[in-house]
Amino acid sequence: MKNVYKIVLVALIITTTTSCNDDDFLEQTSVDQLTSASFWRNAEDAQSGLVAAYSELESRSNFWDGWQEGRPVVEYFRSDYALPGPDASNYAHWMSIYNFTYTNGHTFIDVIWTTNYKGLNFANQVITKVGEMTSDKISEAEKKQIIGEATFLRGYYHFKLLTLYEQIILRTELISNETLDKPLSTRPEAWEVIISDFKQAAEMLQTVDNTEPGRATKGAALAYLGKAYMYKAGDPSSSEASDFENAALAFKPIVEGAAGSYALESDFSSLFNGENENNKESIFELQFKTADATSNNSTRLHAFVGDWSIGGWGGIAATMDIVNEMKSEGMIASNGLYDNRLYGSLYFRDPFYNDPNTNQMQGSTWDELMMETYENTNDNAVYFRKWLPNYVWNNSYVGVNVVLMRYADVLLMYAEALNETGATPQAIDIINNVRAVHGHMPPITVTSQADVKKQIIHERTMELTLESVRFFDLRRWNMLDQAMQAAGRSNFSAASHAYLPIPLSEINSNSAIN
Amino acid sequence: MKKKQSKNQIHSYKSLFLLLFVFVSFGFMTNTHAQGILVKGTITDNAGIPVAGATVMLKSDPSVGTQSDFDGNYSLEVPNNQTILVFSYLGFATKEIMVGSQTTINVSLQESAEDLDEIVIVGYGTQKKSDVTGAISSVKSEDLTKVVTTNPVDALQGRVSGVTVTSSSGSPGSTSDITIRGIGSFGNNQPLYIVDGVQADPYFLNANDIESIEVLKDAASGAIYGTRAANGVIIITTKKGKAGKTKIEIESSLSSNTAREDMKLLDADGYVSVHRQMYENAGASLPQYVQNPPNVNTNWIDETHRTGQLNLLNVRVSGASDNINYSVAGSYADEKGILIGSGFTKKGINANLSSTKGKLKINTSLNYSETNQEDYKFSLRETYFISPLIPVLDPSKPSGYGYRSGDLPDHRNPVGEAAIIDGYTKMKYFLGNVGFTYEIIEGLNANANFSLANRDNYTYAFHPPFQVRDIDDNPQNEYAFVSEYNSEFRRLNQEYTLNYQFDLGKHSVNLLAGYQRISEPFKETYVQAEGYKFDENGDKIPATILDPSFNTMNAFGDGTYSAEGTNAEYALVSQFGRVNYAYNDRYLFQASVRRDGSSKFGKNNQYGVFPSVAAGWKITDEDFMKNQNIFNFLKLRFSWGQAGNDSALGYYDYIALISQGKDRSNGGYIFGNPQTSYLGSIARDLQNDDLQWETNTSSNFGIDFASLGNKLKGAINYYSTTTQDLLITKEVSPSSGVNNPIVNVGEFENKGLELELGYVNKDGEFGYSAFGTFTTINSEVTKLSNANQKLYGIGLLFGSDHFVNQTQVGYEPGAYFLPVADGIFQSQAEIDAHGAQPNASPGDIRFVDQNGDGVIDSKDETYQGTAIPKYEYSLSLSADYKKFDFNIFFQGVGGNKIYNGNDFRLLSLDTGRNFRAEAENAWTPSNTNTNIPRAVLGDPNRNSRASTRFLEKGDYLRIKTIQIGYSLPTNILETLELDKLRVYLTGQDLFTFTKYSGLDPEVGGSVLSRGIDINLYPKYKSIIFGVQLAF
Repeated sequence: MKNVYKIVLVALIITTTTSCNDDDFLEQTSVDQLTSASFWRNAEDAQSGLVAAYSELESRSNFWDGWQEGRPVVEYFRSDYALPGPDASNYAHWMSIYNFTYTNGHTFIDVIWTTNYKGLNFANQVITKVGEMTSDKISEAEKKQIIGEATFLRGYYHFKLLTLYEQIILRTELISNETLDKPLSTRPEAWEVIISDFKQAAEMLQTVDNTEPGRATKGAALAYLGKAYMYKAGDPSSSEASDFENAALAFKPIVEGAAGSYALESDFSSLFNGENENNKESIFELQFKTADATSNNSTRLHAFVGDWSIGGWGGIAATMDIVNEMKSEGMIASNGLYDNRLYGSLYFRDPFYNDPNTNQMQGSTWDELMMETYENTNDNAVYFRKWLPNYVWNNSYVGVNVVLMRYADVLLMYAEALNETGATPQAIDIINNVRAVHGHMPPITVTSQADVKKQIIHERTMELTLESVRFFDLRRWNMLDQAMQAAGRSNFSAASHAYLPIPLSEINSNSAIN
Repeated sequence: MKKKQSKNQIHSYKSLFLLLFVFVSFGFMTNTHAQGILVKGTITDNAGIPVAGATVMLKSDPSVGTQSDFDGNYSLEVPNNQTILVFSYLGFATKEIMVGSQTTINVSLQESAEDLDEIVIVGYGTQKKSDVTGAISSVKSEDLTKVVTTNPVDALQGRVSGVTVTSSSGSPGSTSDITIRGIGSFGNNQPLYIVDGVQADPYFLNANDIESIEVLKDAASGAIYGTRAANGVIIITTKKGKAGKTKIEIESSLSSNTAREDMKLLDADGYVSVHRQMYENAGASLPQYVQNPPNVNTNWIDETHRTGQLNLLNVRVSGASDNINYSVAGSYADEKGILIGSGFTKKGINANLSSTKGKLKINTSLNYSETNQEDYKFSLRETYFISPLIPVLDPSKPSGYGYRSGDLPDHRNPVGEAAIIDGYTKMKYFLGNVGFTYEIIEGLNANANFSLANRDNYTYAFHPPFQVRDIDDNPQNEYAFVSEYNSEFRRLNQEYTLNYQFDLGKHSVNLLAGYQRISEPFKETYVQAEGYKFDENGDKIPATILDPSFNTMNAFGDGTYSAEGTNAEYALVSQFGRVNYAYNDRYLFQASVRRDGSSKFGKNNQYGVFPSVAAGWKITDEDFMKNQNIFNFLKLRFSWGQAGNDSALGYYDYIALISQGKDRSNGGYIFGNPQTSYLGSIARDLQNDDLQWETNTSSNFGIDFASLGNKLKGAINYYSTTTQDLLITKEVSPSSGVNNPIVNVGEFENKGLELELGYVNKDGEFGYSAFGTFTTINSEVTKLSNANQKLYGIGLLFGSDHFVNQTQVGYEPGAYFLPVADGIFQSQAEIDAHGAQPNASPGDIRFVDQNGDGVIDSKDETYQGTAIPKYEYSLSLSADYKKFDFNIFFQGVGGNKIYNGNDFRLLSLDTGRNFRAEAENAWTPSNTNTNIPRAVLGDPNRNSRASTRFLEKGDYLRIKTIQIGYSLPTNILETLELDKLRVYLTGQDLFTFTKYSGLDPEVGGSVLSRGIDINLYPKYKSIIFGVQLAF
């Protein structure tokens, strides 16, 4: 019987030591993560949430299919001046974008959609949660700044989506179980939300002089507000007579210095090679930085853009048409060459790139590089130069920023808006200023409104090649069919291809869309 | 804080008890025998033939006993002449004889249906098989070990009706997909595994350590396990010592494994010719490699495949005497995979000890196992894609391994990758269980059980800098890389039960009440080092690694390091009870209920209650059945019950957690001058406080019978199961911007008929038996969030296109919905007449415009069947004559379809990759009698879109094993002083009869994406030689 007592004793000890409350036992929480309810405690939390809201810009979070291949293929390949690079034919899905034979299941169409909506979810979290923070947690000034930036970002993500896709779903509130599925909005509804967000942000934000580089500013909000009106003006589903006027009103304070001090940079190619980042011409700039041991925010866009001959991956090339367009005014620049912006935008066979004394092409000459790679001088090849550092070889990942909005674009859009609203002489002055500083070119001689518009179309090619504007400009000018025809892109029809389709994944999973 | 402390205490108590118990147990073993009477005799069957291996034991103490030798002889010392001896042997009626004055007792055993009265393990106890009211099937060790595998539950394939085992991979150490009675959940469909009374992972057991496996198929049988039992329960009992002398058993086998079928790809000439067609048909200029191909012809399949091997060894020492019963086994498995670089080893010890001290009984079982899995380190996809014009070795390349030159398509050299990359996963698994049973009064037992399961996982990867393709899209390859992952999973289980069994006249009652707590803490850390650092300009430069072969964290000195890690815990609390009642041993009744609380749910739904009832009627015991001789045994059963499932959930899925990151990929961004990376913090998930259990409600109607003098036995079950509130990781609309959440969605229904039939007979020295199973499965999704909802499976093209499976109300989960491919257009006239395919040319695929709207799009997708077989069957035929034994085991499925995903890639002749050898039969104006469309770059007609073109019938019949064995005769064994020596030769998976054109028709998948055969590790067939030795 002694054993029995032992057993009872043991059982007693065990039961008493383990008899903590069942509910306590079941209560398990993450040991290293806060929750949506316990976060948003102070200004640091609010700032950190805002950082995440920036992180989806230009699909950079999905590095390969979003930023590195998706965005350039979707935005650059569809330009009439682009050609697939030598490596592109190995990727059927790149070629389907180039040939306009893609379907709504295309991975890039999917990724770009998804990443922008992630950005919207994050921006909405910041706007709602920071909005709910009381004054003991965050100062009013800081709150206003943070919500202003998040509001700009919400406008930006919606704008990005609406310019790419035929229709979008508006996301302006915190997501919940009930709002997972939501119907498409009409384009006019979407424009209204975008314009309202940019307007609101412009009121809340500081000028560039008082803001940390990389953040949204009053100038950026106004520039995108104006751009939204310009695009809306060229969108038959939504255009209104007042659009150009409203665009001009938005650009005006930027040009007049009321939204911060902006100016044209004299060294055109320094805008794109990572040597002069966040400069005085930069209005909104996507930030990259060489990776270090604690973070990786680097890019390899230059590898996609760069040709095999200069150590790139040969993702993209350019047509001879763009060289001809850029040479069209002749060698009338102040230095006796073509428009300076031709050399800042393209590599092609030209004495400028074949001078062994200056080695202007990545430290070498065209002929030397071409003979090495292709065993001929590749006379008819043209490659883009923007977004390349001065020396592509041996650079796997770089920190070259990508300018999304710069002062020259604002000036040209302002000139266009003025020209459209009858202020052609004022427009001509602005155009001449840009030509002189960036192109070393003499003033233009045309004066009629129609001729000035043609000149603006030419100037936008000179200035903004490979800056994700060409396809969208052609669309708002209603020139897509004509330009694609001229480029031999026979599959293209504006009716089917002016906008990307709603991704299959959205249609499949969103029960509010049929 | 307080909580933590008490948990640690529990743990330390448990360790203490374990230690204590081991010492105590060995103490018992030194006890000396009491002196008594020596009884001898011979045991024979009713034909007078000696029965070897029959058990003789004391009725008063079953742990004292012996077994008859090969001549049927036994001898046993008994305490006194009042001792009752129990003689038993499987398939024979048990006999009890009082010793009295006899010292020689010869016994003749009668063959009978008694194995219906064999004991079956049920949840928290045992039952006589004839008393079982639920749907429970048993598999014995002899059948399990016929299939040679490193994962014992694989051997269940075809052994039990209603259990589906699908092995999609031939990778050494891989696991199979096991479902019981169809797919009941979108998440985890794995049954609950109970090993010797505790939840455990059977992967770490050895098939030879298993005595029996019971499969609890209906919810009523599983309901006592509550929230974890919705997918059925598999109870594994490991081997215990048997009364008699110490027994040593050794079993060893050696398998030679080769691919069941090899992928046949184009050789160099075929490659050039198909690529030429592809470019010419697209009107594109021919690449250099077509105009002027290099003189290389590599067969990448031969280069990456080889003959594999599997060695198994198991040694067991077991026995029982007086108050102690023990069984200790060691096992070793070593497998070389059929893909280069892959392999697996497993070493394990399994020990069972039990002892009684008065009214106290103590059971201990310990299992320790180590595995080392080395997966193949190249991509099968790239192996299929890479050009035969690329040499394996190329001294002109820096790595010495060939990759493209000129304008050849660029793919990774698999041989190079396999040789350069090092990596493996090692697991250590420990399961310790100690149980105390104390008999308070007769029939009333108190039981306390404590167990600890611990699984450590260590994954290592290393490579020096290398390049095996021209444009290397993995930047990590440029620099050396090493990573180590460590995780520790533990399950601490305490369980207290009271069990009272009593008979009152014709009433027999068994009551069970219990309380259980499980906590599962989990920890993990990951560290990696990369062989680069940053120079003063912020550019990456190689770090200083003293020797390129140095492969530890320290070796990467000034390289770049990163680390992550976390802890989490799952907790479960339960109360449960059960009543079993039998009247006159004829009318059987059972009811149970279990209440579970789980930490995986929000406050709204933390507890769930799972009831069950069951009844049985042994008709043959009724008077009116006495005069019939059709049935020797007949029982009707009915059961209804509920079980739950929370396994689809992670630790904190109902909470929206804030995740942080400083990189472009995880929420970081840059501001400032100089530029600074900032940490981003945001919720990426959806908050969902209403998450709750998946509940599985099932009814079962069954008949057990025996006939033809108990030679024919069988069971028939019909079941119907509904799973409600299914938990699913829902593909959420991407525009919501949140990660795919887990939500309760919809309802599944599974119905089926199961038949198990066995026939055993012996004619003199010729014995033969047949055992067959037949199962029908009818799965249907009966409800989703909304009636028109479609849940898509994975997209085979970058995940965003080429969707094959859809889950819709009214169909099987993950059914195929595809446009119908209707042959090949032979002329422009046919294309014009069809009208819906403007981009087609002669030689392209014609698709059916189902709705006649003049376009082929998603509206033309129609239901095309399912990957879930409509029926499954098996047949095992055995025979033995004298010392020879023979077994052949057939297993098959029917009514299912397979999507040949490899063909989607390898017969889509549209881009720069290699193709299947059949591609040479592509349509050309002079080769029109073919089902392979023309080769054309860019595929303007989208011949390769998801369609029935790649869908094939999946029926198969396989000779799973065919075995012939020979045992040495008794006289030779006696001279060798052995009890048993048997050698056998087995052919495993040698023959498969199927029309499926892919490598193998056994293709698994997830619930939503089932039956897609793409880039699977090829499966193998084996020739196995084995030896079994006992002394």
